[in-house]
Amino acid sequence: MTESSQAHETWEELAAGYALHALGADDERQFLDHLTGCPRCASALDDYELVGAQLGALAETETDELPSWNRIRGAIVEESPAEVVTLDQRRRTRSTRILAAAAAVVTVTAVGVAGWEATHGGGPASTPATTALTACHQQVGCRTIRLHAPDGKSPAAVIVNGDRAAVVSTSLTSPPARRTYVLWQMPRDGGPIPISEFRLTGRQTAFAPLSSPYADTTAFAISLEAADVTPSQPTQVLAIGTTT
Amino acid sequence: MERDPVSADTTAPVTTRLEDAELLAQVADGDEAALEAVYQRYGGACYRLARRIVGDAHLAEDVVQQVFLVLWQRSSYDPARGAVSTWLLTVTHHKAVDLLRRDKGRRQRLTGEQELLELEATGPGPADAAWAQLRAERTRDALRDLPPEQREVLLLAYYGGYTQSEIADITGLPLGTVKSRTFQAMRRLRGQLTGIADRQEGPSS
Repeated sequence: MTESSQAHETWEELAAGYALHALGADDERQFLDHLTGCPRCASALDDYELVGAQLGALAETETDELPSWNRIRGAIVEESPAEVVTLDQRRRTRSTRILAAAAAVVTVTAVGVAGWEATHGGGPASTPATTALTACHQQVGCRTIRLHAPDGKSPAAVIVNGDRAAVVSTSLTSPPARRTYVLWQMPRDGGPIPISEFRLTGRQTAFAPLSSPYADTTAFAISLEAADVTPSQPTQVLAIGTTT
Repeated sequence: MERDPVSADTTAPVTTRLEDAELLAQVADGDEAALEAVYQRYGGACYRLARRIVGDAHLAEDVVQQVFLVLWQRSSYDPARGAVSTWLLTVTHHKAVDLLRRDKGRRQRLTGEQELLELEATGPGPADAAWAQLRAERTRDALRDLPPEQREVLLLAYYGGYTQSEIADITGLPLGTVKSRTFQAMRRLRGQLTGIADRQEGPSS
């Protein structure tokens, strides 16, 4: 085995652990950073995720009845009270963190954006994004909060209309494979809380409910996270904007 | 190459694959009927996996809601990487494990490996029961063929939802040993199972 293939076996070992969702936070971050530029690991991970699905398919043998579509659809397509309760419960748990966590986010921002800028750069302003911001400016009660990277550029803005918020990206590029963007709200009385996740850029995302009133919000931020895993706190913050 | 561990209709796999692609495109366009169709096709597999991991019907329902909410709001599914069923089960597994990690009191309900190895395979429906039975049996055979020490760490990770560090604590093994055993198990299953799932012709062709 060559030195190169030996070194790569270490990455494949992480790929196997990642497919099982069993890596520690440091290993996971290291692997995702490597994965972005490694088609060999991407292919291996596809295979390992298929192995995981095969293991998961064994659970088909249980006899529990599938909940009816009508029972779960409200939380998915209608934002019914059931969904609000679930999110609120998660948010209540997370809001027990002290505001020091918000300060930590700002610290992470510099590191996160530096890495992000190095790999992605900025894109041209998008017409749909500009249109969305203009429409908000013309609407009574609609607010826009520019989010800034450490270099002073503004890759995105948050639109707040009533108790809901949406992201308008002006120069965010699409996230790397298996990554997603997360919008965070930072209330005055707690730590950062995830509001929504998105991958589409260059236009306005769907509105998502705020976790607390806008008046009690100190800032919004966007971070880059592993796809499909709800983060408990931002790991790679790209831009942040205060409400005052 | 499409690889589907839980296709609901393996007697007509090409049609199913096309239907999946069409359904996913319709879901992306906000078609609720298409979302329901995906749920009827694959929701059962997701629910049963979640149920087995979290050990509670209501929590499993919450997990399935989260999975289909992801699909509805911002699907990161990439058809080039595999079947939608693989993606849905992967997301289901992640969401269920995340829930376990938030509620560590539930950790004691690790599925017994003997139970996994002995359960009868019923499959998602009569049309493909034979193929589902064969597929599940071959997966169990592959699990049985693993050295017990590799199978232990694999099942602790997948069905127990433990991180590799936690498995090291539980078993008293060095972390490096846990990692290498997990890798050896996954690599062996990869060799034996990915070929099975490559099959798209179904049992009748």
